[in-house]
This record gives sequence, structure tokens and C-alpha cells, in this order.
Amino acid sequence: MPRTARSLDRYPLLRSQNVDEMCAALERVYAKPALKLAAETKQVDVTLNHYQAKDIAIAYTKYGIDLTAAYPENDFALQTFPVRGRGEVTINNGVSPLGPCNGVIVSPGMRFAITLNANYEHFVLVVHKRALTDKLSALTGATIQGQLRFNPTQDRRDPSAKALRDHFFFLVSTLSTCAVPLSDLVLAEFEQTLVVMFLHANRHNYSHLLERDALRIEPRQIRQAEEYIEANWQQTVTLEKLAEITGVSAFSLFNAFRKHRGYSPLEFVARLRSRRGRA
Amino acid sequence: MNFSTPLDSFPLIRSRDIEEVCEALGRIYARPALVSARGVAGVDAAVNNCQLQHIALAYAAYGAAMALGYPATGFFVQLLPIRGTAEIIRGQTSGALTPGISAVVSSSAPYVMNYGVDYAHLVLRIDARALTEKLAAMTGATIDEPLRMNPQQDFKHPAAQILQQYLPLLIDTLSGAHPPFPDWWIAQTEQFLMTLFLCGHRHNYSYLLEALEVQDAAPIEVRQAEEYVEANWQQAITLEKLAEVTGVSAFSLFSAFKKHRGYSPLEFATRLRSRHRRA
Repeated sequence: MPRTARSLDRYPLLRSQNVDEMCAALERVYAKPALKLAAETKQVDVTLNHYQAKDIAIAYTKYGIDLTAAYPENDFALQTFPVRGRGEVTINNGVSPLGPCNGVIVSPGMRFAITLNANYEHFVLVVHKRALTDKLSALTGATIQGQLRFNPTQDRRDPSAKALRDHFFFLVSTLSTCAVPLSDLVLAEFEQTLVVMFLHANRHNYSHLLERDALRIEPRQIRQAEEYIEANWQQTVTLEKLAEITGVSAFSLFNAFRKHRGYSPLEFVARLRSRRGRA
Repeated sequence: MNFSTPLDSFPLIRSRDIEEVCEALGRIYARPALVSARGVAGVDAAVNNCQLQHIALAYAAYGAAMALGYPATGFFVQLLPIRGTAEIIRGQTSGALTPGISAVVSSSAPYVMNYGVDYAHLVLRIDARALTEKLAAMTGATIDEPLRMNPQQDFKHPAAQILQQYLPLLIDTLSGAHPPFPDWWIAQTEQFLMTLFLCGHRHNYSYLLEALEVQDAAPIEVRQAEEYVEANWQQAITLEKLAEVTGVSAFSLFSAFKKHRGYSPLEFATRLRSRHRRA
């Protein structure tokens, strides 16, 4: 793991020796864990840092004690990036090891238990389920209604896994060292980028939709998008919205516009606005 | 050159013939004209070019002290020197280029590059139409007057610094991407790069982007206030004092607490006191 990655110290959530305070803090940002401590003690030495963005959160945790924490179902997917120590994650009786080379991915809506030794430290990327399903719909044009299930492990040598890890630690390091708060516009785009990389780097039950060739788009669907824009030109029009209305992916729609009309959907919006604005 | 160069899995040309080099640059960018024949005999050029959709990343070293004049290109460009020195001349003004000192060029501005022998740089090249469209999508504004970057830039701006630090990471990611990453991954990465470019550099539409940044007390102020309360819980704490410590108004601090914590700053102080007294 990159030694340069700072531990988000500028975003402290908790420094405490008290186990109840620890549970309360975790509940505030994620979910209340059921704890099993190896020793008969209420004494921990916990450092929790937490940065909450809109669709994602990133966290750094160190508990300073051997422990097992069982978490209930939640609306988040998460991926751990261990930096020190050992542990394991149990999901549905399947056990995956945690160590400097092994992170684990937890799907939204899944209970899990995490067992850690006292010197274990990790970073966590938490992604809201809605952000993942919205992005999947926008990319594929499919309606994502069922569960979203990720493989709990990934091959860390895979270039897509490395890309996600490097980008994640780039954000950690930027947040940890940047003297001023990150621009909202930059942060929002960075979040989108991590969501896309999360869907690319981790196998899930919709991966096949992302792999097939761009859906074929009919002129009818271009007309549909144009009609929507004509009717809503005074509002903010996004590619995602157009994708939702036409039922095809944002990417395919963009390409189809370029191919059949010679301009992109958002250029069409801009042209229409300037025409209407002048009229 | 035998040692490895950035992006060398994307070679464009290796040549000692200046005509061949200019012809190759014309294929991907704009054909430069030789300003004077001095130094040309020693040309030993290595140019790598990784073309994405609307953006390209390139590496160039010419191995000779010479001057090339570029016409208006239709691309917005950032030059990031990694070795040696050069000079960029626009109209009557000239700017030095050296590692750490970058330059931004508008799509409609011709310029002359005066290369030093050892000079090498990375280039970020963005299609003018795509960048204008991104600007329109971000701001909702009609971009009638063409986008123009200020020739003088403050490369210490946080988003500008993030962009400079991010490019080597992205180059490393793309160089290791076998097989190449899918279009939807590339498309999102381009959106991120364009956002960084538009937010990090001054141009004639910067004021529109600045108006979009939410002027809100960020969670960092909430945490600063919490740290102050933790350290001073035995003393009287007023909202005014917390406002002074955090540097935001009492009202926005109060609102930020309610929004991010669900309770007010003084409620937090009360809770903390009762907890410390019990302990």
C-alpha cells in the first residue's frame, strides 16, 4: 500500500478508549455493530476518521484490540483497503481473508462480520447502493431493480482493480493534504469516477450488461430525446435523464446523436436554448 | 533514447528527420512550422500519444534546441514540463516552461515553442467542442462567446494542482490497461479531466463555475468546533466563541451541525459534559 497515503487525520470522527463511544460513532456514520471483544474489557484504543461526500464516504479505522464486529444489512456497498494487520470477513458463511494484499467487497443488503487483530488498520470506500444502480441504469439502459451482488474478492493484479485502488488512494491523499476544502464540482466528478471504477473493477451480477456491445439505437429514440428536450428546455437536462426517458444508455445515446445528427444531445440543448432565448 | 519514457506503449514517432516529426504532429494535433533552421540537424524526437475519445495524453522530447510555430489548433492544451527548459511565445509575451511551471493554450491561439535541448513534456489535449459542451452542461449556460483560457494562470489553485498530480497517475493507469478499458470507463475519466481543467484554470467563464460552488460550512468546521469543545468542556462555551474558532458565522455553524450531526453545537457541549461527569 502506498506509504504516502495519509490517514485522513483532518477528518477525525473519534479518538476514544471507550467501546460504547466507538459503537455510537460507527452507528452515526454507518450502522451499529454487535461487538465481541477477545478480552473481557471495555477498553479499546480506537481511531476513526471519516469523510462523507454525497454518494460515497471514505474512512480510516484502527481499533487497537482484537475484535469481531457483526453488521446488519445496509444500503451501502463497501470495499476495504487494509494497510496493516490481519483479519477476515464472513459473509453468508463464506470467509475471505483481510491482509495488506487482500481487501474484501461487501454487497449492499448483506450482513457481514469482520474479525480483526489488534494492530489491524484499513481504509474503507463506502458507496451508496442508489449511486451504483443509477450509474448502472445510465450506462446500460436497463432497469436495475433486484439485488446488486458483488464478488467478495478481486484479483488485485488486475489493471481495473489497480486503477480503483490508485484512484481511491489519490483521493485519500488529496483530502488529507489539501489546504482548502475540495471544490464541490471536482468532488462530485471524482465521486462519479470512483463509482464507475467500482463497477468496472468488481465483478457483479450486472457485469454482463456492461460488457455487451452498445445497444443499437433507433432514430425513434433520438426523436424521443429531442421531444423531451423541446418540452423541457428551460430545465436542467442531463444525459442520465435522457437515458432514463429513452431507455437506452447515456453512452449509446450520445454516440447515436453524433452519428445521426452530427451533434451531441447537450449541444442540442444549448442550441435550442440560445434559439429560444433570442426568440 | 533507450530508457523508458512516459506512455511508451503508445508510440507515435521516433525520428531524426524534422519533416517526418512535423508531419506526425499534424496527424494528431496541428502541423507546426519550423521557425528557424537552427538546431534542426540534431533532432532526435520521441513522441508518444495516447488518444482517448475527446482527450489525448502525450509525451514529447525533440532532443534539439529549435523553435516550432503552431497554428490555432482546435484543442485546449496544457503543457507539463518534466525535464529541461523551454519558452512559449504568444503574440508579444513569452513564458518560461520548466518542471513545476506549466502553460495552458486556448484552441484559437497560435503560439511558438522554443525548445531547449533537454526539454521534455507531457501534454494534455482536449477537443474544444467537447470542453465547451462540458462547460455548457456544468453551468446550464449558452456558450456563444468562445471559451478562452487566460494566458496567465495560477497553477497553485487546488484544482490545478490536483490535475498536475493526477496526470502521472492516469498515464500509469492507461499504460497498464491490457486489454484497454471500456468506452464508458474512458468517458467518465474524460469528464473528470475536463472538470479539473475548467475548475483549475482561469478563463472567461470561470465566474459561472464559481457561482455554482456551495458556500456552506463544510464538515471540517463542524469537526474543528467539536475538537474545541472536547478540549474546553469544563469552561463556558458560546456559539460566538465557536464561530470565532472555526472562522464561519454562528448561524452557518449551527446549520451545519444540525445538517451533519442532527443536533446543535451547544447540545453537543451539554452531552459531552454529562458524559465526562459520569465517567
